Amino acid sequence: MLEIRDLHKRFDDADVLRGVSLTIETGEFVTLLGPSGCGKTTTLRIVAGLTAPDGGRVLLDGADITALPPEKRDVNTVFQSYALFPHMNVGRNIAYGLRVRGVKKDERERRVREMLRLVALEGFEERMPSQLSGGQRQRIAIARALVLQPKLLLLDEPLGALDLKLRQQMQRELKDIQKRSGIAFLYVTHDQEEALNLSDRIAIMRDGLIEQIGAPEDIYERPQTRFAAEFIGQSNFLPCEVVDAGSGVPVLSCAGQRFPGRAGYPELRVGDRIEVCLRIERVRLSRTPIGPCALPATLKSRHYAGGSIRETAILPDGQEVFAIQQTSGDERLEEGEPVYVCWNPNEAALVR
Amino acid sequence: MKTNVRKKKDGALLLVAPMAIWTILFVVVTLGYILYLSFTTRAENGMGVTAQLTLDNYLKLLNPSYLKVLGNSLKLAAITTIICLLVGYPFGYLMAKASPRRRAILMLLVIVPFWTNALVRVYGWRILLMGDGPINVFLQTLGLIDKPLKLLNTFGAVVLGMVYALLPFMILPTYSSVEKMDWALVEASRDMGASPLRAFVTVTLPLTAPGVLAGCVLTFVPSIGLFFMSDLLGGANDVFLGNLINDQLLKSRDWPFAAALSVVMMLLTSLFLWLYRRAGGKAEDIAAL
Repeated sequence: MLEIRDLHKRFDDADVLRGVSLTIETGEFVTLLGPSGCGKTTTLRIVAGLTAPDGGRVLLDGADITALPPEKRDVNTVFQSYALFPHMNVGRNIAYGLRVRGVKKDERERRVREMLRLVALEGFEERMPSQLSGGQRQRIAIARALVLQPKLLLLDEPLGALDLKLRQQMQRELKDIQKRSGIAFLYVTHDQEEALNLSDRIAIMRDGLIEQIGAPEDIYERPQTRFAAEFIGQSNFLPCEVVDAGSGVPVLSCAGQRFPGRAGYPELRVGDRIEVCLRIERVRLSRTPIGPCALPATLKSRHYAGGSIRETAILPDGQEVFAIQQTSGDERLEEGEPVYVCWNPNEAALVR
Repeated sequence: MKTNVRKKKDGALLLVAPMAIWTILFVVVTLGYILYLSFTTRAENGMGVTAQLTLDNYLKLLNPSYLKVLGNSLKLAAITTIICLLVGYPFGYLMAKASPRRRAILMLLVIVPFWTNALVRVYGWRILLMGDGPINVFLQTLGLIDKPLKLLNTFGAVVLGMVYALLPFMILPTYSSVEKMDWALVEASRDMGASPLRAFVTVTLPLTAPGVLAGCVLTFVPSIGLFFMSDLLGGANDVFLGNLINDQLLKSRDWPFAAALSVVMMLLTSLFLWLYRRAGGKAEDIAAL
């Protein structure tokens, strides 16, 4: 439905986009996730037509819209600041695009009411934006963009200005609105939790490129780079050398210990330096080795937090390994005690 | 508790006293004196006034030739304001949208003339507009005209001088309101299908209206009273309220009538300030300049 091909953009002396390509299907929720300055907002603005790319194409339903001004694109935006017109009431704000398109008054009023129902703010027509709370403004901004029934809705960190509780509530509502409207969403955020909760697919962006794109589960379970692994979830990274890559299951070496790595990396060669990504909730500290992957270490600290325990172990080479696990009564480790850092090789991605 | 409050009150009174004395001395007393003068009679010998109270000075105003002066003044002020708006708003807009470096240069262009005496600058215009002045010479050299145009001592020259003198008072408030614009609002309006023109009319213009309104008041009100412009650039027929007051005071020595004219002018400007406030204008917007 939307296709972005090889977008490039320079601002002054900075390469903001260095070849971004992406496809979005009808009704899909795609998130651009990345740190500030990675080019995610610029990508969004280029799709909206608010910024012109230096190179690359934007295609909507197969038609090249790269050169079209924003008013000629069947795409609408929810701005980070909401950008509600302060001199118009809620009804006029939502009806703005309809009025521009010459929609008749009755029809306008009907669709405004319908939108207010969708965002659960019925009867708010006469309020001024200054009289609304942050969450209400946010929903009006969404209603104002959705009333035009665009093929694609662009959202630029729409929950960034809200407090945590409201943000979580709005996440659910957003997902709900997206499902009900059936409109594709391209969503920009730097919040990994938001991305995981909302998206059908996540594109992790870094320095003007898409680092990895996939379903939340793919990204979490199979990060391809250390950057992607670091950006979503909390992990330990063990630097290893590949000592055998012949038989499908690679053999790795770290701190004098040999252990199997995860299968499914045919590109690995003997001598490659890679890192094992140990998600903190998948690492297990134990007195006795469990499974084929178990490195001897010393327990440095242990914090009991009711439902979970946070532990830190130190490997012989000085690297710290963090682990978080559900509390269970069976084994109580003491600080300073020798332990094994254990994990299931199939749950530990290999990244570069 | 009670004494405490009173103490506080006394302190506050002491603090506002200088301001109050200043205001009473220079505003209330002087304006009161002018008001009083406007009801007195001109002295027989032409020097000063006698304390014989009368309404004649105001009735004199109803004389058609004086009413015409009043009408002329309003016409001049209106034309000046409209031209200032048509030139000043785009200037202020471009200045607000320019890069910081360009903006500084433009700002300098607006402000530098203030560093020179206004009279001197108007004399400059006299020279430029003279029959054998640079403008006429230039046009003749190009062969566009055969004989010098009458530029000086015309209504047009007065308007030119007025616009020249008052343009900064339109540029600065419009600039400051455009500069405060949230451009995401214009982007939002474009995003929802508005053409650049439509976005300007429905979003930029209403949101910068306070600056436009302030600019109009700041040009309209002084242009009713500015007298030296028509003295230096205008013709014999270009008599405005300001000139009339000046002439009555200094040439005809009719202080009571001059005072009555001044009172009328003050009422007029107060009326416009009142209308400005009625239209939602803020006192701060025009007081800042």
